[in-house]
Amino acid sequence: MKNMDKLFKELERQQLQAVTRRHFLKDCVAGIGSIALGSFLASCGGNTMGGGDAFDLNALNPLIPRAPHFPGKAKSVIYLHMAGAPSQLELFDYKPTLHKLHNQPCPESLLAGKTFAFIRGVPKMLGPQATFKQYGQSGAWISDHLPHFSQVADDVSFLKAIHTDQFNHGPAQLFMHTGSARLGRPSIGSWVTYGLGSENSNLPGFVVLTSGGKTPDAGKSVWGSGFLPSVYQGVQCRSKGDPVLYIADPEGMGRDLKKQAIDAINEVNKEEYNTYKDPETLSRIAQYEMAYKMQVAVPEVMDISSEPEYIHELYGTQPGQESFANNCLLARKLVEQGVRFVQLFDWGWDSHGTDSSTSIDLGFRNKCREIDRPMTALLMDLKQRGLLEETLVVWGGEFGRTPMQENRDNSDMPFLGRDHHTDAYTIWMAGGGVKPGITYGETDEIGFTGVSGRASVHDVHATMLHLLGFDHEKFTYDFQGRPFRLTDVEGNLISAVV
Amino acid sequence: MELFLEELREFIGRSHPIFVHLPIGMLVVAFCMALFGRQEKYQSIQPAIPFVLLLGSIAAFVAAITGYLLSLRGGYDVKILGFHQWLGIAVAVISIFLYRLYRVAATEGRVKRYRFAVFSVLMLLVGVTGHFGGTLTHGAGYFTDALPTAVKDFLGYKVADVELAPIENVQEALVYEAIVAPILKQRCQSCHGERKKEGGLALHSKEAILTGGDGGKVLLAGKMTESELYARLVLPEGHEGRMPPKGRTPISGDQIKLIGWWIAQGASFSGKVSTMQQPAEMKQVLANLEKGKAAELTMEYAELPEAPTLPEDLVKSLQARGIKVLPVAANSNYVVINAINYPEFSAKDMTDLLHIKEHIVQLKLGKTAIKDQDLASMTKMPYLRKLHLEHTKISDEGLKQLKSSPSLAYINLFATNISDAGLDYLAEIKSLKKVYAYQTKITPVGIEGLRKSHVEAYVDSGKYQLPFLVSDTIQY
Repeated sequence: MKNMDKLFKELERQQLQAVTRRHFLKDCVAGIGSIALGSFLASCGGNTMGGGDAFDLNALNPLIPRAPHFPGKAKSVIYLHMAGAPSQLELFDYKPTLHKLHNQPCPESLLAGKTFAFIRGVPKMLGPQATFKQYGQSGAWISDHLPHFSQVADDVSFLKAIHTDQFNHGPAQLFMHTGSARLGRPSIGSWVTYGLGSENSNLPGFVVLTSGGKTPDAGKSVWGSGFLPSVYQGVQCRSKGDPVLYIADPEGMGRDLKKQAIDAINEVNKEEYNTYKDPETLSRIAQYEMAYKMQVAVPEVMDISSEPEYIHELYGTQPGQESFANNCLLARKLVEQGVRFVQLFDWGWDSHGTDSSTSIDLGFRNKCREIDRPMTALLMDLKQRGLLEETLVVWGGEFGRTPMQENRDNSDMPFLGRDHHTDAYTIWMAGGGVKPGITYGETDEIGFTGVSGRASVHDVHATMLHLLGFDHEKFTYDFQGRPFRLTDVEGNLISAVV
Repeated sequence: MELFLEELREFIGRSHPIFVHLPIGMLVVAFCMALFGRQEKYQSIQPAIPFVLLLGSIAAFVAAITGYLLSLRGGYDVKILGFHQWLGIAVAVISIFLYRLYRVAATEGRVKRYRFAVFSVLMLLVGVTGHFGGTLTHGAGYFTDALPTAVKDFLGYKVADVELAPIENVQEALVYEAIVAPILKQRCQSCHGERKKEGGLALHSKEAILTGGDGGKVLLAGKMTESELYARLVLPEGHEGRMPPKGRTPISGDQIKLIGWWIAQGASFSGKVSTMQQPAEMKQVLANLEKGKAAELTMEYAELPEAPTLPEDLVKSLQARGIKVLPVAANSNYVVINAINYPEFSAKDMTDLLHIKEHIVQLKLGKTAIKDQDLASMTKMPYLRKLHLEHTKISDEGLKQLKSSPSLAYINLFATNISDAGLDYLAEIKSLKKVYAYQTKITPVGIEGLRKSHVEAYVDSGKYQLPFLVSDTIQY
């Protein structure tokens, strides 16, 4: 009995210790320190949506839909990222002069002060390896590599003088998706989901689909949530096998049992949140609930085999494959179901000319064929369902390609290729309030640099946020003592296309 | 040698902001000692007063000397500088005089009261001197600008508006007066203005700009890159000479372009925008000035009257059911209703929605159980513009109910049972602009019928197909 008493005593003491320490901390916060600490903590994880309603941490679900600064035309985004950077000179930026200069040495003046990833010494100019024609009422130039896409020329607006400041894939992809070439910033999909929440409570707000055999060079940070609560990061779905790993219940685990387990865990987490107010706890609760609902909703939306045959013909899809075409169809299905941001990555556009698959006249054309029909079909399908006007579709790479032929290590290459180029490349946007049929920006005679309508990656982001109803200068999140923006301290709205 | 002395003078002068706080602190401490020393309880500190006063007055002299050296550099508002200088000297002189008083006549009652009165005046002078010093360094209104808005309102203090107002008609505006001058005022004049002329440069008037600064002219009309006024703005970040300097509000990219363009176009002080050449890029930047931040105002729903406050209880009850009530913008009471997670949408829900009929601009009821007869209520929604009925049981009978819709512009009928007869009913809705009717029974004849009354209307019956091309199969 005596031993038992001792044990109780010890327990009591231990408990007291724990209690006093907590009390002390609590008193600190509640006492004089509360003013200073309060504002400090607020700046650690607080938030300002500018003029908008402050994000109410007590409204337990961080994914509930929220209103933007002003009524946005676009409600969802499909971002088609061509990882590796497709050549603008073979697709949209028609340069007949470059054709005349084919095989001539590049003038030294163009090379002075420039850095290239692989070009050394004096490279030769490489004429366009495609034939161009103007299409539609708008007269947009599109090459014969995209015969299907040319039919929707009037639905699309081209930005032809985009420039970036990163000439390697990883940093450039990060820049294109997070507004910073370094790790740690939230991706644009995370920003948008953070700002607008998700309209469908049964599906994630931000879905990522990859094709082309590899994930982007910058890794999963390109759809990461950075310093935003992790509930806003992209959910990568697979188009082959289980769409999300371990989505099916293990054998012997019934749906009811699972529900009870999740409810119990969330009850504990809610108490935890009430004590410590850590937004990550909310993320946890939301993720449990989302996961439970997703078990039904995701396999349904991710199953393209139930689509009618003519849809498969339109997109060129084959159920069960991992392909850009399947991902385009999935993107449409997800947006139809109210998913806020669908990010597609298609790998394989790095046309250096080191082998036939990266050759500008061979492998590059295969890549073009792989995207031509699906992306055209995507625009048409969104349109016929009345979805295009509220869905912003953006297509582009992380940089452009040089008008010069690549001469890796100053030697002749067996295949035709182009090096990374930061000064000018083309992206297009469609739907979601984008003025259709506009070509904004112009490059010089050889497509080396923009001569008018130059726009930076920040400008593209500012424009995308504007279409969604955000003033990019006011759309901020406080972190480490200062408000952060997707566009940091830059970015101007490209008002010609909105 | 002369140069060395000059540089030394400047160096010592720059220590003024450091030394200046010593006399303030010391004299305040001495004053507190004198104040409390009058009480019996603190009598013991009285003998220390002269010592602290002496230190304070020595510091005041040092501050005055360094301050004078700093003033030789120029660039300050002469009037304020004069006040500050003479007050500073007065503080130093009075404090040494006070020291004598505290030192010598320690006992006599009359001197006691009189010397304390002098000390109080000295404190006042210290405060005023400090204020003028602050005005010289930070510019006028440094403090008042930072007052909490509530306090400003209470005091009736008007805030100087630094936000640039949008220009009504940019092409007709005077380029200097309407565009350049406001930028200079907003971004440059707190250091290069009437009061403070850093580097001898002031940018508040035409004459001042043309005069330039210590380093010569800053504006060479027509020579953008050679004009310091532009060149300083585009120096790389972190460069010492970049303007505005680190820590100040940066100038925006568009503003830099505008200043550069103005200089390149001859830096006219009287010309209109329309008389200058405008490359495509500048046209864009100029157009932005017109719309600028006001772009929001041309947004959707801006022309609608302000909607009344939403009934909170009803919204909560709808949300609890799974019907989402989403404001179109943060400060708007107009809402989009989305029943994406509530397929069982029924007549009762429709009745509830009628309580907020003046708020609804968009109804997303796709894939729900909505019935034909429920549509009649929608005509009572004065601002309903977009209606989504895709994948529902709606038929032509339902569209008949919609005939008198006041503002319906978009209707999505994808995968419903409607036919050409339904389009005839829709033709009676004057505001209609877009009809999506993919996978329905409508025919080109029906579409033609609708176009008769709605020439501009867009009717999409879908069924898009992409032809099979030979190139689809070529493997390179």
